[in-house]
Amino acid sequence: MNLMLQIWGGYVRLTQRWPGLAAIVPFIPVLALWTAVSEAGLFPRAFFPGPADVVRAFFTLTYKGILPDYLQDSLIRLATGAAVGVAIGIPLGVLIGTSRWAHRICWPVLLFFQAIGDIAWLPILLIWFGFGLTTMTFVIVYTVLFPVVLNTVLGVESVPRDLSRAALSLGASRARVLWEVTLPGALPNIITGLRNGLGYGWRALIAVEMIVGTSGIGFMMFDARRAGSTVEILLGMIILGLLWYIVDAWILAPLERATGQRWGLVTS
Amino acid sequence: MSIASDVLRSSKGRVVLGVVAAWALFQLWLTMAAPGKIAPELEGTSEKVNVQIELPFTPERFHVLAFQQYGRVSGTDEHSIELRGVKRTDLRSVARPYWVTAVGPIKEGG
Repeated sequence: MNLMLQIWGGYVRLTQRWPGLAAIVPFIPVLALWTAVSEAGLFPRAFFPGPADVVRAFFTLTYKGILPDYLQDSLIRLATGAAVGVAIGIPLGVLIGTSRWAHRICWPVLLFFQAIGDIAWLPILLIWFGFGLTTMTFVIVYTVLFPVVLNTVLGVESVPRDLSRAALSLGASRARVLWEVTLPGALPNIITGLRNGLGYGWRALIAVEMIVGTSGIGFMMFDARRAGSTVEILLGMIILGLLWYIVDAWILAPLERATGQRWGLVTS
Repeated sequence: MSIASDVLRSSKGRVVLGVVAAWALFQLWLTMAAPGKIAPELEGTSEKVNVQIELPFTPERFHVLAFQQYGRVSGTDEHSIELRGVKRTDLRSVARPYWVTAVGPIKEGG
Protein backbone atom coordinates (compact mmCIF):
# COMPACT_ATOMS: atom_id res chain seq x y z
CA MET A 1 0.00 0.00 0.00
CA ASN A 2 2.83 2.31 1.01
CA LEU A 3 4.70 1.46 -2.20
CA MET A 4 1.63 2.24 -4.31
CA LEU A 5 1.30 5.62 -2.61
CA GLN A 6 4.97 6.36 -3.26
CA ILE A 7 4.59 5.43 -6.94
CA TRP A 8 1.47 7.58 -7.22
CA GLY A 9 3.22 10.48 -5.49
CA GLY A 10 6.15 10.17 -7.87
CA TYR A 11 3.79 10.12 -10.86
CA VAL A 12 1.96 13.24 -9.64
CA ARG A 13 5.23 15.13 -9.07
CA LEU A 14 6.54 14.04 -12.46
CA THR A 15 3.40 15.09 -14.37
CA GLN A 16 3.30 18.40 -12.52
CA ARG A 17 6.85 19.10 -13.63
CA TRP A 18 6.30 17.82 -17.21
CA PRO A 19 2.54 17.97 -17.97
CA GLY A 20 3.14 16.39 -21.40
CA LEU A 21 3.94 13.10 -19.66
CA ALA A 22 0.33 12.80 -18.47
CA ALA A 23 -0.72 12.26 -22.07
CA ILE A 24 1.92 9.58 -22.71
CA VAL A 25 1.57 7.51 -19.52
CA PRO A 26 -1.92 6.03 -20.35
CA PHE A 27 -0.42 4.53 -23.52
CA ILE A 28 2.27 2.60 -21.62
CA PRO A 29 -0.05 -0.31 -20.60
CA VAL A 30 -1.42 -0.46 -24.16
CA LEU A 31 2.12 -0.63 -25.58
CA ALA A 32 3.17 -3.21 -22.97
CA LEU A 33 0.16 -5.43 -23.77
CA TRP A 34 0.79 -5.07 -27.52
CA THR A 35 4.46 -5.99 -27.10
CA ALA A 36 3.64 -8.93 -24.84
CA VAL A 37 1.05 -10.37 -27.25
CA SER A 38 3.29 -9.95 -30.31
CA GLU A 39 6.37 -11.36 -28.53
CA ALA A 40 4.41 -14.32 -27.19
CA GLY A 41 3.89 -15.43 -30.78
CA LEU A 42 0.16 -16.02 -30.34
CA PHE A 43 -0.34 -14.80 -33.90
CA PRO A 44 2.00 -14.95 -36.93
CA ARG A 45 4.28 -11.88 -37.07
CA ALA A 46 3.00 -11.02 -40.55
CA PHE A 47 -0.54 -10.62 -39.18
CA PHE A 48 0.30 -9.07 -35.83
CA PRO A 49 3.59 -7.13 -35.87
CA GLY A 50 4.98 -5.60 -32.68
CA PRO A 51 5.67 -1.93 -31.86
CA ALA A 52 9.34 -2.31 -32.87
CA ASP A 53 8.28 -3.46 -36.38
CA VAL A 54 6.02 -0.41 -36.70
CA VAL A 55 8.84 1.93 -35.61
CA ARG A 56 11.14 0.28 -38.19
CA ALA A 57 8.47 0.73 -40.89
CA PHE A 58 8.18 4.40 -39.89
CA PHE A 59 11.91 4.99 -40.44
CA THR A 60 12.00 2.95 -43.67
CA LEU A 61 9.02 4.77 -45.20
CA THR A 62 10.43 8.14 -44.10
CA TYR A 63 13.85 7.27 -45.54
CA LYS A 64 12.22 6.40 -48.86
CA GLY A 65 10.21 9.62 -48.85
CA ILE A 66 6.88 7.82 -49.01
CA LEU A 67 5.48 8.69 -45.58
CA PRO A 68 6.30 12.45 -45.56
CA ASP A 69 4.89 12.83 -49.07
CA TYR A 70 1.64 11.02 -48.28
CA LEU A 71 1.28 12.85 -44.97
CA GLN A 72 1.80 16.19 -46.69
CA ASP A 73 -0.83 15.31 -49.32
CA SER A 74 -3.38 14.36 -46.65
CA LEU A 75 -2.73 17.50 -44.60
CA ILE A 76 -2.94 19.80 -47.64
CA ARG A 77 -6.24 18.18 -48.68
CA LEU A 78 -7.65 18.57 -45.17
CA ALA A 79 -6.47 22.19 -44.90
CA THR A 80 -7.90 23.09 -48.33
CA GLY A 81 -11.23 21.36 -47.64
CA ALA A 82 -11.47 22.85 -44.16
CA ALA A 83 -10.65 26.37 -45.42
CA VAL A 84 -13.35 26.18 -48.09
CA GLY A 85 -15.82 24.60 -45.64
CA VAL A 86 -15.21 27.32 -43.06
CA ALA A 87 -15.35 30.10 -45.69
CA ILE A 88 -18.81 28.87 -46.75
CA GLY A 89 -20.03 27.60 -43.37
CA ILE A 90 -19.49 30.61 -41.11
CA PRO A 91 -21.19 33.23 -43.38
CA LEU A 92 -24.02 30.78 -44.09
CA GLY A 93 -24.43 30.06 -40.38
CA VAL A 94 -24.45 33.77 -39.54
CA LEU A 95 -27.04 34.39 -42.28
CA ILE A 96 -29.31 31.60 -41.06
CA GLY A 97 -28.86 32.67 -37.45
CA THR A 98 -29.62 36.34 -38.04
CA SER A 99 -32.32 36.23 -40.74
CA ARG A 100 -35.67 34.58 -40.12
CA TRP A 101 -36.27 34.26 -43.88
CA ALA A 102 -32.92 32.61 -44.47
CA HIS A 103 -33.65 30.26 -41.58
CA ARG A 104 -37.02 29.26 -43.08
CA ILE A 105 -35.52 28.63 -46.51
CA CYS A 106 -32.20 27.03 -45.59
CA TRP A 107 -32.94 25.02 -42.46
CA PRO A 108 -35.00 22.19 -44.08
CA VAL A 109 -32.48 21.95 -46.94
CA LEU A 110 -29.62 21.83 -44.44
CA LEU A 111 -31.25 19.05 -42.41
CA PHE A 112 -32.07 17.12 -45.62
CA PHE A 113 -28.48 17.17 -46.84
CA GLN A 114 -27.07 16.52 -43.37
CA ALA A 115 -28.82 13.15 -43.47
CA ILE A 116 -27.00 12.22 -46.68
CA GLY A 117 -23.61 11.07 -45.46
CA ASP A 118 -20.42 12.20 -47.16
CA ILE A 119 -19.61 8.72 -48.45
CA ALA A 120 -23.11 8.47 -49.98
CA TRP A 121 -22.03 11.22 -52.39
CA LEU A 122 -19.07 9.25 -53.69
CA PRO A 123 -20.78 7.24 -56.47
CA ILE A 124 -22.16 10.36 -58.14
CA LEU A 125 -19.00 12.39 -57.48
CA LEU A 126 -16.92 9.71 -59.19
CA ILE A 127 -19.15 9.98 -62.27
CA TRP A 128 -18.98 13.79 -62.25
CA PHE A 129 -15.34 14.44 -61.32
CA GLY A 130 -13.60 11.07 -61.55
CA PHE A 131 -10.86 9.76 -59.26
CA GLY A 132 -9.20 13.02 -58.36
CA LEU A 133 -8.64 15.94 -56.07
CA THR A 134 -12.01 17.56 -56.83
CA THR A 135 -13.90 14.54 -55.51
CA MET A 136 -11.81 14.44 -52.35
CA THR A 137 -12.10 18.18 -51.73
CA PHE A 138 -15.87 18.06 -52.25
CA VAL A 139 -16.27 15.31 -49.65
CA ILE A 140 -14.13 17.14 -47.07
CA VAL A 141 -15.90 20.46 -47.64
CA TYR A 142 -19.26 18.70 -47.35
CA THR A 143 -18.21 16.98 -44.11
CA VAL A 144 -16.75 20.11 -42.51
CA LEU A 145 -19.66 22.32 -43.57
CA PHE A 146 -22.48 20.93 -41.42
CA PRO A 147 -20.87 21.08 -37.96
CA VAL A 148 -19.60 24.60 -38.74
CA VAL A 149 -22.98 25.87 -40.01
CA LEU A 150 -25.04 24.27 -37.24
CA ASN A 151 -22.71 25.45 -34.46
CA THR A 152 -22.52 28.95 -35.94
CA VAL A 153 -26.33 29.13 -36.02
CA LEU A 154 -26.42 27.93 -32.41
CA GLY A 155 -23.79 30.49 -31.44
CA VAL A 156 -25.55 33.39 -33.17
CA GLU A 157 -28.88 32.43 -31.62
CA SER A 158 -27.35 32.12 -28.16
CA VAL A 159 -26.18 35.75 -28.12
CA PRO A 160 -28.82 37.60 -26.03
CA ARG A 161 -31.03 39.84 -28.19
CA ASP A 162 -30.77 42.55 -25.54
CA LEU A 163 -27.10 43.07 -26.37
CA SER A 164 -27.89 43.74 -30.04
CA ARG A 165 -30.81 45.99 -29.09
CA ALA A 166 -28.61 47.90 -26.64
CA ALA A 167 -25.93 48.42 -29.28
CA LEU A 168 -28.54 49.52 -31.84
CA SER A 169 -30.10 51.96 -29.41
CA LEU A 170 -26.64 53.44 -28.80
CA GLY A 171 -26.37 54.19 -32.50
CA ALA A 172 -24.38 51.22 -33.80
CA SER A 173 -25.04 50.18 -37.39
CA ARG A 174 -26.25 46.63 -38.13
CA ALA A 175 -22.85 45.77 -39.60
CA ARG A 176 -21.12 46.98 -36.43
CA VAL A 177 -23.52 44.98 -34.23
CA LEU A 178 -22.73 41.92 -36.32
CA TRP A 179 -18.96 42.50 -36.09
CA GLU A 180 -18.71 43.61 -32.46
CA VAL A 181 -21.59 41.81 -30.72
CA THR A 182 -22.92 38.83 -32.68
CA LEU A 183 -19.68 37.35 -34.04
CA PRO A 184 -17.64 37.61 -30.80
CA GLY A 185 -20.59 36.13 -28.88
CA ALA A 186 -20.90 33.26 -31.34
CA LEU A 187 -17.16 32.63 -31.62
CA PRO A 188 -16.88 29.92 -28.91
CA ASN A 189 -19.59 27.91 -30.72
CA ILE A 190 -17.96 28.57 -34.10
CA ILE A 191 -14.64 27.20 -32.79
CA THR A 192 -16.47 24.17 -31.36
CA GLY A 193 -18.02 23.60 -34.79
CA LEU A 194 -14.63 23.96 -36.42
CA ARG A 195 -13.12 21.45 -34.01
CA ASN A 196 -15.89 18.91 -34.68
CA GLY A 197 -15.88 19.61 -38.41
CA LEU A 198 -12.13 19.09 -38.74
CA GLY A 199 -12.40 15.83 -36.79
CA TYR A 200 -15.13 14.52 -39.08
CA GLY A 201 -13.26 15.88 -42.12
CA TRP A 202 -10.09 14.02 -41.11
CA ARG A 203 -11.99 10.72 -40.90
CA ALA A 204 -13.80 11.38 -44.19
CA LEU A 205 -10.50 12.20 -45.89
CA ILE A 206 -9.00 8.85 -44.91
CA ALA A 207 -12.10 7.01 -46.15
CA VAL A 208 -12.05 8.91 -49.45
CA GLU A 209 -8.33 8.38 -49.94
CA MET A 210 -8.91 4.65 -49.51
CA ILE A 211 -11.53 4.65 -52.25
CA VAL A 212 -10.43 7.29 -54.76
CA GLY A 213 -6.94 8.37 -53.70
CA THR A 214 -3.61 7.77 -55.41
CA SER A 215 -1.69 9.21 -52.45
CA GLY A 216 -2.24 10.10 -48.80
CA ILE A 217 -2.25 8.19 -45.54
CA GLY A 218 -5.58 6.49 -46.34
CA PHE A 219 -4.21 5.36 -49.69
CA MET A 220 -1.02 4.10 -48.03
CA MET A 221 -3.06 1.96 -45.63
CA PHE A 222 -5.32 0.58 -48.34
CA ASP A 223 -2.40 -0.04 -50.68
CA ALA A 224 -0.60 -1.90 -47.89
CA ARG A 225 -3.58 -4.29 -47.77
CA ARG A 226 -2.81 -5.19 -51.40
CA ALA A 227 0.76 -6.04 -50.45
CA GLY A 228 -0.36 -7.75 -47.23
CA SER A 229 1.76 -5.33 -45.19
CA THR A 230 0.01 -5.26 -41.81
CA VAL A 231 2.80 -3.17 -40.35
CA GLU A 232 2.10 -0.27 -42.74
CA ILE A 233 -1.62 -0.42 -41.92
CA LEU A 234 -0.84 -0.24 -38.20
CA LEU A 235 1.62 2.59 -38.81
CA GLY A 236 -1.07 4.51 -40.73
CA MET A 237 -3.54 4.01 -37.86
CA ILE A 238 -1.03 5.23 -35.27
CA ILE A 239 -0.15 8.29 -37.37
CA LEU A 240 -3.84 9.15 -37.78
CA GLY A 241 -4.45 8.97 -34.03
CA LEU A 242 -1.25 10.77 -33.09
CA LEU A 243 -1.65 13.55 -35.60
CA TRP A 244 -5.25 14.18 -34.68
CA TYR A 245 -4.34 14.17 -30.98
CA ILE A 246 -1.68 16.83 -31.61
CA VAL A 247 -3.96 18.98 -33.80
CA ASP A 248 -6.90 18.73 -31.41
CA ALA A 249 -5.16 18.89 -28.03
CA TRP A 250 -2.41 21.31 -29.00
CA ILE A 251 -4.14 23.67 -31.43
CA LEU A 252 -7.94 23.39 -31.51
CA ALA A 253 -8.71 22.80 -27.81
CA PRO A 254 -6.52 25.74 -26.61
CA LEU A 255 -8.09 27.91 -29.33
CA GLU A 256 -11.54 26.88 -28.11
CA ARG A 257 -10.59 27.65 -24.50
CA ALA A 258 -9.00 30.97 -25.48
CA THR A 259 -12.06 32.16 -27.40
CA GLY A 260 -14.39 30.91 -24.65
CA GLN A 261 -12.47 32.81 -22.00
CA ARG A 262 -12.14 35.92 -24.13
CA TRP A 263 -15.59 36.27 -25.63
CA GLY A 264 -17.74 33.63 -23.96
CA LEU A 265 -18.55 36.00 -21.11
CA VAL A 266 -20.38 38.30 -23.53
CA THR A 267 -23.52 36.30 -22.80
CA SER A 268 -23.31 36.59 -19.00
CA MET B 1 -3.15 39.92 -24.52
CA SER B 2 -3.54 38.64 -28.08
CA ILE B 3 -3.87 35.00 -29.15
CA ALA B 4 -0.44 35.30 -30.85
CA SER B 5 1.29 36.19 -27.58
CA ASP B 6 -0.65 33.40 -25.79
CA VAL B 7 0.69 30.94 -28.38
CA LEU B 8 4.25 32.22 -27.89
CA ARG B 9 3.95 31.90 -24.11
CA SER B 10 2.70 28.28 -24.15
CA SER B 11 5.24 25.46 -24.50
CA LYS B 12 2.94 23.52 -26.88
CA GLY B 13 2.60 26.60 -29.07
CA ARG B 14 6.37 27.00 -29.17
CA VAL B 15 6.82 23.33 -30.09
CA VAL B 16 4.27 23.65 -32.93
CA LEU B 17 5.92 26.85 -34.19
CA GLY B 18 9.34 25.19 -33.91
CA VAL B 19 8.19 22.22 -35.98
CA VAL B 20 6.70 24.54 -38.61
CA ALA B 21 9.93 26.58 -38.71
CA ALA B 22 12.06 23.41 -38.98
CA TRP B 23 9.87 22.17 -41.83
CA ALA B 24 10.15 25.52 -43.64
CA LEU B 25 13.96 25.50 -43.23
CA PHE B 26 14.15 21.93 -44.51
CA GLN B 27 12.10 22.90 -47.59
CA LEU B 28 14.43 25.86 -48.17
CA TRP B 29 17.48 23.59 -47.88
CA LEU B 30 15.94 21.12 -50.38
CA THR B 31 15.40 23.95 -52.86
CA MET B 32 18.96 25.21 -52.42
CA ALA B 33 20.54 21.75 -52.59
CA ALA B 34 18.69 20.64 -55.74
CA PRO B 35 20.95 22.34 -58.36
CA GLY B 36 24.01 20.69 -56.78
CA LYS B 37 22.59 17.22 -57.51
CA ILE B 38 22.29 17.87 -61.26
CA ALA B 39 25.31 16.67 -63.27
CA PRO B 40 27.13 19.35 -65.37
CA GLU B 41 26.86 17.00 -68.40
CA LEU B 42 23.16 17.82 -68.54
CA GLU B 43 23.86 21.45 -69.48
CA GLY B 44 22.79 22.31 -73.01
CA THR B 45 20.25 24.14 -75.09
CA SER B 46 17.76 21.42 -76.04
CA GLU B 47 14.31 21.84 -74.57
CA LYS B 48 14.11 18.29 -73.19
CA VAL B 49 16.66 15.89 -71.77
CA ASN B 50 16.88 12.19 -70.77
CA VAL B 51 18.07 11.65 -67.22
CA GLN B 52 19.06 8.91 -64.83
CA ILE B 53 17.94 9.59 -61.26
CA GLU B 54 20.04 7.98 -58.57
CA LEU B 55 18.41 6.86 -55.32
CA PRO B 56 19.99 5.33 -52.20
CA PHE B 57 17.52 2.39 -52.36
CA THR B 58 15.60 0.25 -54.86
CA PRO B 59 12.84 2.37 -56.41
CA GLU B 60 9.26 1.44 -55.62
CA ARG B 61 5.98 2.22 -57.35
CA PHE B 62 5.72 5.48 -55.37
CA HIS B 63 9.00 6.78 -56.84
CA VAL B 64 8.07 5.77 -60.40
CA LEU B 65 4.69 7.51 -60.05
CA ALA B 66 6.35 10.59 -58.54
CA PHE B 67 8.60 11.04 -61.60
CA GLN B 68 5.93 10.25 -64.18
CA GLN B 69 4.63 13.82 -63.88
CA TYR B 70 7.96 15.09 -65.30
CA GLY B 71 8.55 12.62 -68.13
CA ARG B 72 8.39 9.04 -69.34
CA VAL B 73 9.85 6.40 -67.05
CA SER B 74 11.64 3.97 -69.35
CA GLY B 75 13.20 1.69 -66.79
CA THR B 76 14.52 1.15 -63.30
CA ASP B 77 17.44 -0.74 -61.87
CA GLU B 78 18.67 -1.41 -58.36
CA HIS B 79 19.35 2.20 -57.41
CA SER B 80 18.13 4.40 -60.27
CA ILE B 81 15.25 5.37 -62.51
CA GLU B 82 15.53 6.34 -66.19
CA LEU B 83 13.34 9.27 -67.08
CA ARG B 84 13.03 10.47 -70.67
CA GLY B 85 11.72 13.71 -72.14
CA VAL B 86 12.21 15.85 -69.02
CA LYS B 87 11.91 19.60 -69.60
CA ARG B 88 15.06 21.46 -68.55
CA THR B 89 12.90 23.72 -66.41
CA ASP B 90 11.74 20.66 -64.44
CA LEU B 91 15.24 19.36 -63.66
CA ARG B 92 15.42 21.14 -60.30
CA SER B 93 12.01 19.73 -59.31
CA VAL B 94 13.23 16.25 -60.23
CA ALA B 95 16.36 16.71 -58.10
CA ARG B 96 14.54 18.35 -55.17
CA PRO B 97 13.32 15.35 -53.07
CA TYR B 98 15.73 14.47 -50.26
CA TRP B 99 15.75 10.85 -51.40
CA VAL B 100 17.27 11.78 -54.77
CA THR B 101 21.08 11.66 -54.54
CA ALA B 102 22.02 12.65 -58.10
CA VAL B 103 20.54 13.41 -61.52
CA GLY B 104 22.75 12.67 -64.51
CA PRO B 105 22.61 11.65 -68.15
CA ILE B 106 21.37 8.16 -68.97
CA LYS B 107 24.19 5.63 -69.03
CA GLU B 108 23.43 3.98 -72.39
CA GLY B 109 23.94 0.24 -72.32
CA GLY B 110 24.54 0.40 -68.58
